[in-house]
Amino acid sequence: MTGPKGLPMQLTQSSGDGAAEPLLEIRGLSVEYGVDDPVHAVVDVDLTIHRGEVVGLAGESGSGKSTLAYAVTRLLRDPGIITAGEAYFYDWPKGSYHEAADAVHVQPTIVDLLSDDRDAVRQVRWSEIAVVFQSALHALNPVLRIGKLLDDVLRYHERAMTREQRQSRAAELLQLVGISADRLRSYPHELSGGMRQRVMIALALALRPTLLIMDEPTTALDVVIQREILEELMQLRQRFGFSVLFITHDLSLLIEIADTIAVMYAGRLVEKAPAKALFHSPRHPYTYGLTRSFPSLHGPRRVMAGIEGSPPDLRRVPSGCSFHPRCAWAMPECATDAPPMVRLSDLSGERSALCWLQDGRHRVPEELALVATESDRSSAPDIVTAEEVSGNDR
Amino acid sequence: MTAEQVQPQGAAERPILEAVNLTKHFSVRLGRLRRGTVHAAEDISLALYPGRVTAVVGESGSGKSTLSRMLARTHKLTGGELRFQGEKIDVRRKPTLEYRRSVQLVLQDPFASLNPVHKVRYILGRPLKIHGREGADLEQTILGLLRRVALEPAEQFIDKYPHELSGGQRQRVSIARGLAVQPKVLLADEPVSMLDVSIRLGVLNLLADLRDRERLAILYVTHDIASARYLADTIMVMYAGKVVEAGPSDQITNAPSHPYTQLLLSAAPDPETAQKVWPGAAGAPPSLVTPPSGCRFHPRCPHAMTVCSEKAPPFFTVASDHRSACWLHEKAHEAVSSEVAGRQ
Repeated sequence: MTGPKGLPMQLTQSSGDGAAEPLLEIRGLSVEYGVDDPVHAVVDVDLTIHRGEVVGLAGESGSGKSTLAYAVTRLLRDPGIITAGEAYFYDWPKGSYHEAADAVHVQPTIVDLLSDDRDAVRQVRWSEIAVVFQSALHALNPVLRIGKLLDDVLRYHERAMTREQRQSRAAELLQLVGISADRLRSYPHELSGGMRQRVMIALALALRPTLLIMDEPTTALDVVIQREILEELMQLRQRFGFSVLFITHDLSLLIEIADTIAVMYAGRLVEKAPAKALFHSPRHPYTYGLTRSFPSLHGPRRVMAGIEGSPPDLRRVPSGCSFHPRCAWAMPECATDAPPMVRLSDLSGERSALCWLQDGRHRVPEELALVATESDRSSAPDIVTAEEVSGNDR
Repeated sequence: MTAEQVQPQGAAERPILEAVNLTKHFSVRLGRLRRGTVHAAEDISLALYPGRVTAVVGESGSGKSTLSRMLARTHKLTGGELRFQGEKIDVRRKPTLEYRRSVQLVLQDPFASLNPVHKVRYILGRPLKIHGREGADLEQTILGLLRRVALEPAEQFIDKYPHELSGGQRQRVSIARGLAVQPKVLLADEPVSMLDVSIRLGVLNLLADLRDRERLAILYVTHDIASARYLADTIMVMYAGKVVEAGPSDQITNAPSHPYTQLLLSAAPDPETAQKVWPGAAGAPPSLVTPPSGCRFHPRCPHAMTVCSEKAPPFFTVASDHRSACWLHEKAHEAVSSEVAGRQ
């Protein structure tokens, strides 16, 4: 897994556009579980997260989205093995999120996340790349008070801090996520599900990371609490400027909060596009099916079909395109040859789809050729909060 | 049909299963000596009609599952009464085999609700044997059931174990088990929430199909108001053990008249709305051991008035078949209520 020692490409020239500066770059990553008859959990995935960007990673259970996140943070448990690929983290100076790269001060150091030197990863994990795990109840140590959990992180990573400083920082962190400081003395089981998830976010933000990886952070929560936490997260992001990799099976949620969405199916990344473009004009048949799988709250009620069949067994992924048995537009070559990742460009921006239909030699079905518009371009999340409407600060 | 039974307006047929003021309290320990009562469901009335889907929408702890279990009679009632095909049921007695056959429950988690040591053949054969409905040929009846829930080729599925099936297929077996004894009412408790997004619609469409083809009365319990709108004819919104609003699906989602329904709708992810206004921090559902006085939503309600904390609101009719338990809809507060109705 030793990556080439040469600098990855984008780094040599710095662009003025802050959004185009990479933060995490994954190239050709493959992960397998087990040695004999392995499960191909992640296959040849390319994904770049830029500074300040919210990237949504969507997929069904078993599509490899969590495995991908655990692989790049080196939290993969046995028998998970990274079999191929590279992953680089661009360690920008702390607090420089609003500054574009320049030649002198704002320059990243590059960390090879897949290197054999585990300390290299340890340097950036949590302090730069923090993970919020799915099940907050199981992720928080049940025998430690919330204050102790926060204190532990600070004591290990911020050696210079005194006890009093740590205490006040812990209280500050809790307030950041909307929990009063007297909860520092509570145990995890004394908190509601929503509060536990907030504590998880506070823990993740403790060291001011530049990338927050969130693995299904709101799946176990009720919709109202989910909305509350997402709103808070988006406000925190505006304030601290971190990037987010948001992993979920709920595509409808991602369309609202993400700038870019990547869709995974059977371990492969099948489509990547600006969030709204992905919803309004999908290019991959699977994405097309997904966008028509959740009923809307508006417009006429109409019968929707979902997607025929069910996700494949990852030990025996279909040959060629792994989606072809469920695809309405499958052609003979789909069953035999793996489709290419086709790079496309339209008014919404750069996008890509892993499909034979898009390679330029085939007639693209009408449904997969809907025109993307300028307004589908990725932009800041367009959720207007009550604060912004009324103008008062919480 | 008994004389005192109220026929709701607009209902051409008589209800197959009717619940009047169902109440369920659970007794819990609060400490070594103290005991408390969880007011899980209070004064819930509803009617299920053949060929119609009624959705119960609410957050966890709202009492929606308790309601489905009371209707299935696996929970004893603390109060209220049940009418089945117009006849009052003696709820203190054990449910009859006939009732058990006619009202079937489909559970949420298809990974836990199918016995892993038995094949599909046994799982589907058992209810048939218990209720004496094997028919001429048990195998053919089971194969027919599998085809009814679109598990084809049925000959292959009959000899599979649950672990050999995907989540969607398991939930179909679970529904087939419910259908085996030709029920009149199907109570589906979150039937799709454990399934992958791409196969949820398949199961929802199957339920819609059963409603149309076999005129089943279906109770669809869910936390997802968008799927309730998709499938159901009527939606009932529950909050902290009480019904806060009930009416035709389109009415509820297009013109919600209870502040809680409005909160629920604004929280639901919906990519087709370009601009969302989120009212901000909304608090959390109350404890059901010590529920708030008056309206249970009043501590979180942006429109709360003094009367809300004093008296529980009765149902006010806001449109035909559309009722809302909110003081804003009382005549005296009409000005405010039109504002509330106009917000969405």
